[in-house]
Amino acid sequence: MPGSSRTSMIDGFTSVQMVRRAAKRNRNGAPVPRDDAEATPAAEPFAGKIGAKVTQTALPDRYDIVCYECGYAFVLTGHLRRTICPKCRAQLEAGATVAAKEYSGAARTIGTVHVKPAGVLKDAVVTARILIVEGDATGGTLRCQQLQIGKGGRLALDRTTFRDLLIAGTAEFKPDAPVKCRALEVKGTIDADILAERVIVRAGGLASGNLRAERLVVDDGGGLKATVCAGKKTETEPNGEKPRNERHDDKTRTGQGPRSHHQGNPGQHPGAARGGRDRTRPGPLRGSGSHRPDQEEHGPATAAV
Amino acid sequence: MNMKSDTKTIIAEDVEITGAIKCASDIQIDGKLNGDMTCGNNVVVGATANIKGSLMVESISVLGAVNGNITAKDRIELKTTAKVNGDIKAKRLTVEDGVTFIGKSEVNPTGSAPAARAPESPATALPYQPPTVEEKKPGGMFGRK
Ligand SMILES: [Zn+2]
Repeated sequence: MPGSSRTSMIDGFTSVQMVRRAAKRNRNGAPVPRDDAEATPAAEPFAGKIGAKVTQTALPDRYDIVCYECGYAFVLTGHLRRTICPKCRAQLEAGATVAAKEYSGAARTIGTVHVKPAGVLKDAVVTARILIVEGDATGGTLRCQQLQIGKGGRLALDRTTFRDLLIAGTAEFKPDAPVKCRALEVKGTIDADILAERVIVRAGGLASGNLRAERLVVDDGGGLKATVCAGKKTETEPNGEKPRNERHDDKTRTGQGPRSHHQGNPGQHPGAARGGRDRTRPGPLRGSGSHRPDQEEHGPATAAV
Repeated sequence: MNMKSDTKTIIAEDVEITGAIKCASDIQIDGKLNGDMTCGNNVVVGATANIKGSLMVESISVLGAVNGNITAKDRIELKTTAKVNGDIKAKRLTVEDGVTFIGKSEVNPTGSAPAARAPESPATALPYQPPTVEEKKPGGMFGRK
């Protein structure tokens, strides 16, 4: 009998377990057959074709949101929708804005702003979570978490603040100023001085110029025609020496900016050395799960020449 | 069966060679090499290997440390444990996350510029949508406390 292990005292959890066990048995102690409704599902989880696409996942989407009023960072789970900043209680719009022709004014959203190929920004101030530039955004002051540059996209880096940069498959991006960001993904072509935490060159992409990254990944078919310094700082700069191809300004590596209280060792975290705040974790637009006292800036992004 | 294709030279971990190596078959180096190497076939630089010298190979997979230039006719693979201090040149390149690489790279598999591909369409462009108001249900299945 399983009841051989007798207990002299019963806590709440054990009593609940016992009641459940008893409910599953009849008077003779034999298990009661379960109703069909309660029966476990069939062995096959879904009767569809083997290898069919699973369209639903259990994990909801997570969005890193930065309040455009106060700069507070938080995570929105589920659908991206209009929400309220937990800090300043401002209502944050989540609608997508498309600039398909000349656009001036202010666009503020925690969603997407898309400057179409025919779109021209003139004295526009754009604050968005994702900014897609396929037109002329040189006349705008741009601030976003993820900047995507498409074919023909132009912008003034000295008036653009971003955290992650994606060069789309057909884009050819050749900025005058150095590109500094957390994550850079290259599917098209970029020719620049690049300082990033993480650089991924996808198949068909080409990164040229000077590249300095703590983590570098080149997929098969990706091109890398650059002076490269990739790896952990402790390995690329033994005894504090500069690597031989170091061309970047020293300013970029002095840890300015306040640090979050809950981050670990200051010397270990890459974000600390980028002059930015540690709203960073590997994975584009992932991470930053916590509420942090944020300031106006969006993080380690670009700087003027 | 061609015997040559099956032949593989292995330089074990406890072996240290000073001088140049020239071979036609595959070679795996797990020990130390102070000198240049020319190989007309595949080279594996093992995780325990330490090479000080230039490598001219057909294709190479690096897991260990190389201090010198690598030139491959076909491809270079830098695995996650690789530490390369030198210039690399190849037709194709694969770099895994975690690699330490200091030097110049000259790899452009697609030629001068990447071939035009279908647009990436990073996001579907929609006209301005007034955001829908959805009250977040407290304590939902995926609710965030
Ligand atoms: Zn706020």
